[in-house]
Amino acid sequence: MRRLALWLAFWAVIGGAVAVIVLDSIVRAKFEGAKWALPAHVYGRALDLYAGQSLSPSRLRWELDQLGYRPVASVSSPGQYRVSGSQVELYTRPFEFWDGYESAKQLSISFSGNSIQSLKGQQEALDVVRLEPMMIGGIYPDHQEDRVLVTLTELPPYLVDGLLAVEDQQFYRHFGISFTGIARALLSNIVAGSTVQGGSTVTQQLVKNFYLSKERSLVRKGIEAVMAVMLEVHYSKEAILETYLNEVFLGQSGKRAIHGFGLASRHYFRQPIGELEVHKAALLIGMVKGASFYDPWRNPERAKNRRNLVLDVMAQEGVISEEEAGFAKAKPLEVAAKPGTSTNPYPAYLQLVREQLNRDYREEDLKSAGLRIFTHFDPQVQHQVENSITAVVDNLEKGYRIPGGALETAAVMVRIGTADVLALAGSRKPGYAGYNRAVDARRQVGSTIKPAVYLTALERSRQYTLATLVDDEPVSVKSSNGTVWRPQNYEKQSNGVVPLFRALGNSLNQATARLGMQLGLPNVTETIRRLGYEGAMDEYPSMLLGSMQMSPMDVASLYHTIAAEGFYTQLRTISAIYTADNQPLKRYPFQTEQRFSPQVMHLLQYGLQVVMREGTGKGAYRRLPENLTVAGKTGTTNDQRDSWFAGFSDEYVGVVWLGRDDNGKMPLTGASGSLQVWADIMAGLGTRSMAFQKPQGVTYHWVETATGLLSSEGCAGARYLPFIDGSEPTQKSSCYRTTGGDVMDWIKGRLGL
Amino acid sequence: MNRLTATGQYGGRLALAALLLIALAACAPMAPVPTETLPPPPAPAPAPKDDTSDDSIRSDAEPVSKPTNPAVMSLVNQGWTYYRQNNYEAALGAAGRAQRIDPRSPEVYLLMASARFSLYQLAVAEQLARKGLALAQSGSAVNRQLQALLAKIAASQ
Repeated sequence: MRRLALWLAFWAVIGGAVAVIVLDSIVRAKFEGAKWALPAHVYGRALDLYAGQSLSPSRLRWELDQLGYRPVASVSSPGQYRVSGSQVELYTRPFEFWDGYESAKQLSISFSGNSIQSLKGQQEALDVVRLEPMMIGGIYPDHQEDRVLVTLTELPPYLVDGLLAVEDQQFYRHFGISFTGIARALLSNIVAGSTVQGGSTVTQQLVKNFYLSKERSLVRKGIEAVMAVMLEVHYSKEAILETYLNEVFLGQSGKRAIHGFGLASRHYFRQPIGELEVHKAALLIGMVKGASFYDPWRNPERAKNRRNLVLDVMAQEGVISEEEAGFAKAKPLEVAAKPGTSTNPYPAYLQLVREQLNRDYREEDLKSAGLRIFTHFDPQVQHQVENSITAVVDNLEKGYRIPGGALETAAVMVRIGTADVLALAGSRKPGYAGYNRAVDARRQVGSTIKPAVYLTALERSRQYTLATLVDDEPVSVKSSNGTVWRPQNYEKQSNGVVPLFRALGNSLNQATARLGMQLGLPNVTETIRRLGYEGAMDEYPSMLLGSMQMSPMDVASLYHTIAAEGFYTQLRTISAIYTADNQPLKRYPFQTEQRFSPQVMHLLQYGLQVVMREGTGKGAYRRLPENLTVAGKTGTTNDQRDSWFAGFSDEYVGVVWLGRDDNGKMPLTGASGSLQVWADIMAGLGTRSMAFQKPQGVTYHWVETATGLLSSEGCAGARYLPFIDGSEPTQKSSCYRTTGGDVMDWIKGRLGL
Repeated sequence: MNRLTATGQYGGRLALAALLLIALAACAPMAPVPTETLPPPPAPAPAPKDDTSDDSIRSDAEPVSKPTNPAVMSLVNQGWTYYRQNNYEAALGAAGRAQRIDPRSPEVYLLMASARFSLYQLAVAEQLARKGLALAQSGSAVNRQLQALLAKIAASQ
């Protein structure tokens, strides 16, 4: 009998030892590796602030509100601002940027109208200061756990001490399990009449959440206790506490689970954790007990009672004074109006980002490696695009008696020069996560392709200039399969012989088709390719009038090359990717390629201004200021199934498409449809006139437009047109004088200047 | 029809011409006079109405070095500091930030092209230098620097 007992005891010890060794290895393996599958977080651009910047005070305030900055009476710490008249006092937040840590700065911004006049630090003038970028989405692990890791040092001391006061007062004295803790919790709960403290230590809670299933049993409780002791043996109190703070579940947002205090602070208050005041910290501490039960949006009263209870415990335990507790208890919850972190507020843009990421990275890494992805997304431009689409498309439906909701739309905004995609709408519904028409809808482009035909012509400067007369008589082209193509002008009229710039300005189909056939289809498709289109193109004559199908992104790429004086740059969404510990993984620095001469682009840009001032685009000026110089082109496809507009100002290329998903007819042209949305966006952004500087090698001459002959200023029918040097007409009209434009040369000659 | 105002520079030119003409009137033989100060001569040919003496869309202005924004200058200078420390990636980063503020600053492209050249990315550097040249005023210092860089790139290829 005794031998049996010994035998059993022996095996119990052996079994126990084996179990301990196994549990020990489990504890260590998970704690020492990458603790969590961390989602990739995607950021928008960082807003640079500088003197001379075109930024209205209201736009700055909008950005600050989005970032969770709080308006206060006196600015004293990061994340605060104060507006007084045309002055904004601002305390920026620190942020770890690609080129280093940008510390928090207190500054004063003076506005003059809708631009920044000066920027001053506390003592010195500042050249440029940037705000932290907005988080615009994430790529989440399959279990949908989201978190932003924080270190103990980032947290306000009252948050950590308050948490321990409520959850585990013996934390620094126990070895993983605490018998006095259990007794004390029991007592407090009896006194309070409800459960205010749990009996498990923070270490046990961590083990439960981090290592074990949700099952409740005595055996599991035993395993939990053993593993808690193991954790304490191997790791410091600080490491355990920090892991707990990052692990704990603090809410559910749709499918996504909010874990850790770092993310919870952003989610509920739109603030980084370091900024949380006592009353906000207390709410989060209280939510540890039951994040859904104490959800401050759904159950505000319950959440507030819980918060105040936590504040009482914090005061009792000396974390804060009674006075501080009283002050904090008097405050409202002050949670953000809506969650500060959302899975996907800009799905169309995020899709574009993901497409690029999927080319370069494994899906697994994107979902778990905690990458930080910085993009060129500009929330202010996006906001304007969404507002314009909503306002104008609704109005168009009403005005043209189109059934509500029948129209769909897509828009792309690109910064000229950098080729950064700033904003993207894939639908008329902001935040719509379905079909992304800006990227995936390929529709006939109509006349938006015509600039490519005219560009092909203007590159042959010996043959074609803006003043060259082209024939707009009816045309028929027999294709290789025997069908005959007979394009007609939109107005069903012919215009005889017209100067080239006028044919482009008025979007004459017959003249363009004739010109394109003269140039040769392969040459026109080659131009489209050089402008940046990479898809397939069939060389049918009807392509000259835009029968090929492209996405709004494709069209934006072509027009960016035109706006950027002939330099092609692939449209860019991602600027850089960083690892979870902020090491640069990949940067996407700017590069470009000259595809056309600045001279020929100057001529084409002239023609596209004619469109806006005198041609099919002039309806834009119903919304735009009269003195704003812009360039662009309308596009309407057969039976008005697609309405397009593509155009640019100084800063932005914008492309808008309007149509029906079923490709049905609409009563809208490019001018009455998409142009209106485009102009509303441009007007709302307060964009500047395009630079349109004459490059060397281009000279302006007075030309009689009806004959194409050299003329003089003041002559009837004369127009001042740009020519690539050597391509200007040599034959003179009868009105041509050696006076006029030459007067300065004559005077200069006389004065020897 | 729409009439755009003439560029400021052109207006200035007319004013200057008018002033000079007054000064010259006494001592010079009958000087040519800008047409706008005279009644127009009889029209030699009928012309479409909307093309009559249209000077609306035009740009006589060649690229001029507008004073570079201090923010751009500060970032470009920061970029050159990185460049001198052989930290070309950081130089490109600073240039990129400056470019977002002013994508038409030739100084930005000089910095980008120089950094790419130092990274032996000759084709990229060449194109960036060309972009800078397209924006630089002829005869300006940055124009000369870009030309010199292009020559260096050509010699390395």
